[in-house]
This record gives sequence, structure tokens and C-alpha cells, in this order.
Amino acid sequence: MAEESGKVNANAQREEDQGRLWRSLRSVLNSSLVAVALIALVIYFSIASPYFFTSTNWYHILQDVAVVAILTVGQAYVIITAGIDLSQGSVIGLSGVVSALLMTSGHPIWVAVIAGIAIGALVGLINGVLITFAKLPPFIATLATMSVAEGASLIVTGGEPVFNIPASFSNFGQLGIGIFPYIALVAVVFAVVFHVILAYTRFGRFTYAIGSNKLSARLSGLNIPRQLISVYMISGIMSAIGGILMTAWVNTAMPTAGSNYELNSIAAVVIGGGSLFGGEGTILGSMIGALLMATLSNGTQLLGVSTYWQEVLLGLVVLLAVYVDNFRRRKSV
Amino acid sequence: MNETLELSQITKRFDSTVALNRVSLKAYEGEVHGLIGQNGSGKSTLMKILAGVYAPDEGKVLINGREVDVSSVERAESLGIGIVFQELSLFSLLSVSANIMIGREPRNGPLIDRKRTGAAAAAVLGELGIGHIPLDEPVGQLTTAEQQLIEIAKCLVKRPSVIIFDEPTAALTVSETQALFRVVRNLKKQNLTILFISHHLEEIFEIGDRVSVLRDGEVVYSDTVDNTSETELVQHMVGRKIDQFYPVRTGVTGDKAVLELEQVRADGLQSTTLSIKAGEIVGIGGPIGSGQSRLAETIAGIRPLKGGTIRVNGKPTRLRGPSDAIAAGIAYVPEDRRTEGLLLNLSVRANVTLPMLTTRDGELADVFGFIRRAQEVRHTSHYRDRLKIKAGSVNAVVSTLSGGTQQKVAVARWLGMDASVYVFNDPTKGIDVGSKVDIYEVINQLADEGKAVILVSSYNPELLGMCSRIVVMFKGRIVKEFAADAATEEQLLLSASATE
Repeated sequence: MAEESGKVNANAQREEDQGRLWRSLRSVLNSSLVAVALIALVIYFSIASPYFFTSTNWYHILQDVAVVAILTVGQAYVIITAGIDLSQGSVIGLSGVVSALLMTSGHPIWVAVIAGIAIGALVGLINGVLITFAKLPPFIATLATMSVAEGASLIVTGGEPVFNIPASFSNFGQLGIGIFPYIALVAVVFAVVFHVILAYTRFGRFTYAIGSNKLSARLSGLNIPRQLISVYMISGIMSAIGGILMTAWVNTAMPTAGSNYELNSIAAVVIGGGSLFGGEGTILGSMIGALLMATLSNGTQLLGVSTYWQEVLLGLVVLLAVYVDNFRRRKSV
Repeated sequence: MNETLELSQITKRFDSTVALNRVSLKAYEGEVHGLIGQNGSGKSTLMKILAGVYAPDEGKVLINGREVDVSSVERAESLGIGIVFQELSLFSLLSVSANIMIGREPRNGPLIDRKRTGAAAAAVLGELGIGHIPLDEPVGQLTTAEQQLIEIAKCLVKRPSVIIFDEPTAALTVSETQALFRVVRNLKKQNLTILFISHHLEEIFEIGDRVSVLRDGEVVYSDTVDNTSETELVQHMVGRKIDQFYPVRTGVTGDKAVLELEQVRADGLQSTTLSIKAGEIVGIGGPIGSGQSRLAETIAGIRPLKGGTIRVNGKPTRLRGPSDAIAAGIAYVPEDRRTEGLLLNLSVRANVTLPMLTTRDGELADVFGFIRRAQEVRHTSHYRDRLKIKAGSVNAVVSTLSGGTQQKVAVARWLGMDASVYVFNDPTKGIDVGSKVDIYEVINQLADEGKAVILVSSYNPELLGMCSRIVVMFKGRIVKEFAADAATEEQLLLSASATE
């Protein structure tokens, strides 16, 4: 009996090892095309421009990608549940100006930061409630809150930027260690934490389960509203943190600072192997996606490509990434 | 009497199963030809061949003595074959006239000529004797019976010479059925050829001129209705021994009632009282769509209770959703594994452990919610072995597995839950025989362990082979109850059709 259970354990262990190997192999394969593309771009730009592969420039790229990367963490959770969060960009603006207004009116920085995060959590909560209880499609619900949040930040500021950010705060946004700006380190910390949650916890499993088959997840006893509301709140909180970091970084809070950022985070997740049909995607892949976009825009800029053409290029990259991914998936099924 | 439609030696296979085997059939002008057979006997496949949905592997279709090519839906239509489907295919937000004339609206340049469209629709309704139905009403506002008539009107607009009705009375009341029959008789007078598929023998005798019986993909009987009787037809429908592959149960039924339903009502489910003891397998049968799924889904907490009480182990439950049912000790294996049962793009492991992760804190995850991966793999491997799931690894993605294997995964996720009640909703539909037997064995084991088991099935031999007791449902209520060893397939069939 003991021998038998020992054998079962050994089998399970072997399977576990195979599973781990297969998983890591697959995650590499999944993001490999994008990773290869990223490396190719880095090599190309390094050759084409003497300014590209320098520590100053890497500092710029990482500074550039930090806010989008944090949004992407939230967007990845949302997209894995087969949803979408269009309100991210507006939350950047709203939480940015609210925390800036509090800071400049003499409140302690930590109070301002918490207030900004609370606003992001609130928008996420509203998104989640609209989607689960009012049964609105995520696209419509977050389109509406996007507009409301943007309007709200214009109302509280009268459309004017908020200046005179405390120096201790804006220093955090601009300084760093070596080639790593603090705000990029914050992004890395969040990415790691939420990667662990997504890959190793029940919460992460439930996120995939909802996106894979909501009905089946419900029949398995999952509390769908609770899970979805949590996911949209994560996205809201990530957006708020993005907005606060952005305020520190640019030393100003603009009500429309985050316009279109949600499109970048969606693109990053999709480039990184996420599917808008849900149930697929990883934080690692999404981060590579975000980095790819930032590298592309930085490199082309150094080469003197006009910003108009950069937009065109970025669009083409998204198309190519999704097309190749679809193609690969069709072949594997 | 001209024979308008002839099927000659039609054979249709799906992979290794033969759905139709050398089926020959003749239907005559001005006659109603009844087509009967049990669930899965091949009626639907036959109809889909005539509709141009499936192409036969062998055999010919002849119309007015000439061989014709029914390889697409458009061709079938142009040959004058019209079909009134069982599931309504109407656009509920569009008007009556728009639905009837869809795809063949008279044009005025690029635009639809509304006047002529309305006039043409009105003419068809008049022909059917249902001119009272308002043309501008959205179809969704009509009763089911009226919608069924609109479906017929939509078919008539195409001026078919052959009309096939697929169980048109399934959702109708007695008086609505009579109204439908008046329309059918009307069509008969216009010398159309009518194929009438039905579960209800008495309808065949009331409206049919001729009747054919399908059994296991073969026509086993065909004659005029005057030459036969209900009993004879039922014998032809059954006409074979029950397969021997149902495993024999060793355990005995206990005395304790585990699941009790007391006057339970829900949408489409009339007051139902049923008690199931520990170790008992109770089968639920009857024509498809008679409320079996609704009953199962009500017990599983998916459909809200409109009245009555469900007790598990003597304790009343309050089922606000599936999670309440699971907490009360009810496990439910849903009917459709692809849309309800499985997370198709996730691994076998994620599928098997999901109910445990959602409802049982601490067993497969620690206090922080981290999944204990090794335990999870062990748990999954255990149930994979118990159900003989053929997957290379517990990490195989479910969508890559065969249908039977997928169904086993859908069953496996509930075995670790140690529920008191197991509800299986048609668990062997469309899967291979080997997988069926494996699932039957697990069902028996559950009963032997003292669980109360409900087996909903559209296949009567399965009910007879597996269950200790069988209840037959019809139009949303239980109409008859049998001890399985005392019941025969004939009785099961007759009990559903004879109650009206």
C-alpha cells in the first residue's frame, strides 16, 4: 500500500516536472516570436543609431514604458476574462489631477496618493458593477466610464493643468538607480506581484476560468460577479497608479494626460499573446509587448522617422503580431 | 396517386457510426406520411439530407421519378422541398410579413416594395386560414403556436411541392395542435406531399395516411395507417434487445432519502415531487424537451425555484445559484460539455480542480490562495485514472481531446467533491461506446457509495440498463413512474404518448 502510494507520488512528481517544463517551454514559445522581434529591433536600432544602445537612452525607454506597463498589468487581467477596459486612460487623468490638487493644496503626499488610488478603485468598481449586475458589455460600460472620468477631470481642473508638484514627489518621478528609473522599478514590482497571482493562485485560476467559459465557471461554483469586479478594480487601481507616476514623471498633472493610453495597453496584451476572446494571455508576454512598442517608438524617433509614420508602424506591428499569432494557433489546433 | 418523393438506399455515416443504413421511402402526392422513431433513430439525419444540409454517402433522392441533386440548401429549395423546423428559425424582432417574405421580398429598384411584400404575406396567411394574425406585429409578440404557423407560411411562400414537418406539435397545446392539423389538411387538399415527423403516435393516426418507422437508422416498417395499430408501431420502434454493455450493479439501495423534491416548480416545470434514496439511480426520460433538463437545472441551482422545497439529507436548501447547490452537496454534470461543462482552452488539471478551488478552501490551496501544484496534479491524476481519461498529461489542453475523453473530464471534476447528490444530464450523448461504459461504471460506483443519482437520458435503453427507477416526463411534469426491472421500452414510449 505504502509502496503503491509512493509510486503514485513519483508519477505525480514526474508529471509535475514535465508540466513545469512544458509550461515554461510553451510560455517561451508563445512570447518567443515577440521576444525575437524585440531583440531584432534592438540589434537593428543599435546598428542604425549610435545613440540607441546607451544608458541614457535605455533610461528614457524604461521611463517611457513604465506607465504603459503598469496599465498593461491591469489590462491583461481584464482581457483574460474576455473583457476590455477602455477607461484606463481617463483614470490616469482623473487620479493624476486629483492627487496633484491635494498635494498642491498642502495635503501630505501619501494622502494624495491614496486618494488617487481610491479614485481608480472606484472607477473599477463601477465598471465591474455595470458589467456584472447591469449586464452591460465591457466595451460599452468602460466606454461610458471613460467619458465620465475624462469629463470629471476637466471639471475639477477647469481644463487647466496642475503645476507646482512638490519637488520630493517629482524627484521620484525623474530619478532612478543606474539605467532603471524609479517609476520603471515600481512597474516591475507590480508586474512580478501580479504575475505570481495570475500564475500561482486561485484568484489567477478563476480569472482564466471566467475568460475560458463563464458558464462552466459559474456551474463550478465560482462567484462570477465578485471575481469580475475584483479584476476591473485591479485595472482601475493600476491605472490610478499609472496616473500618479505620470504626474511625478512629467511634473504636471494634465486632465487629458492619459488619452489613448488604454489603446497602448490593449495592444501590448494582444501583442504578448492575449486573446480578446479570453482565457489566454500572460503578464510576461504583455510586458514584452509593451517593451516592444516603446522600443519601436524610441528607435524610430532616433532614426528621424516622423511621429506620423511612427503611428502607422505601430498599427502595422499590432496587425502583424495578431495575424502571426492566429496563424500559429490555427496550426497547433 | 403520384409518388412525388422517393428515397432510395440512402446511407449516411458519421465517422464510424452509421446514422442511416440503406433507407428507402416513398411519399405520395396529397398524402401525409408519418415518420416515427425513437430519439437517435435517424429521423433528424434523414430530414437534414432532404434539406440539403448533409450529403448522403450512398443512395439517391428522386422527385417525380427523376433523380435529383440535393447537395445544398439552395438546391433543396429550388427542387420544391420545404421544411418546417422544430426549433423556430424566426427573427423575433422583425414583423410577421418581413419574416414570411425574407429573402424574396418584391423590389422597387434597390428598395423593398413594402406594399407588395405585405400583400404577398397576407395572401399566404389567407391560404393557411390564419389571416387574423396582424402582419406588422413583431414575431416575438406572437404565441408559440402562432410562430409555428408563421414558420409554415414562410415555407409555403417558396411554393414547395413537398413539405416536411419536424415534430411541429412538440410545444403546442391540444387546441393549438388541432389548429395546426386543420392547416395540414388544407395543404393536403392542395395536393402537396407531406412528411410528418412526430413523437406522438396518436397524431399519426389522426392526420397520417401512411407511416414509416425508423429504428437505428433503418426503415423497419412502412404501410398505410389503416393496416396497423399503436401497439404494433411501438413494437417496431423498439424491436431489439437492450445492449448488454450496461455494467451490473452490486450495491443495494438504502432506506434514507437523500434528495427530496416537494412540489418543486420552475419555469417550464410543473409541480414535481420526487424522492431519491441513498444508492438509488433514478432515470428521467420522455420525449426530448419535456422538462427533463429544466428539472435537472432546477436541482443544480441554475433555474430559480418558483415554489416548493428541495431537501438534501433532510435539510431544506435555498438555491440562489449553482454555488449554493454545490454547497448543499449537489453535483451537476451539464448536458453540453462544450458550452457548459468545460473550460476548453485550459488544461485537464484546471478543469478537474475548479469546483474544489471555488468551494473548498484550503484543500488544494493555502491560506494565501496559492495553489498547491503537486497536490493538484496528484488529485487530477487520481481521477484521470479512475475514469480512464486518455490524455497524455494532466496539463493537456481539453480542446485537443476526443469527445468521449472531454466528457470524462466534465464528469471527473465532480468526483472529488464528495457530493450527496449527482445529477447527470444526458452524460453519454454523442460519445463512443468505450467512454460510455467507463462513465456508466463511475455512475454505478457513486450509487454503491451511497450517493443519490439522477440520470437524465434521451435514450430509453440506457435508462432501462442503468436505473433502479425511471420517471417519464411530458410537457413539464412527471407523468409516469416505473421500477426499472418491471418496465419495458414499449411502456416508456407509450406512457409519454398516451398521456394528453
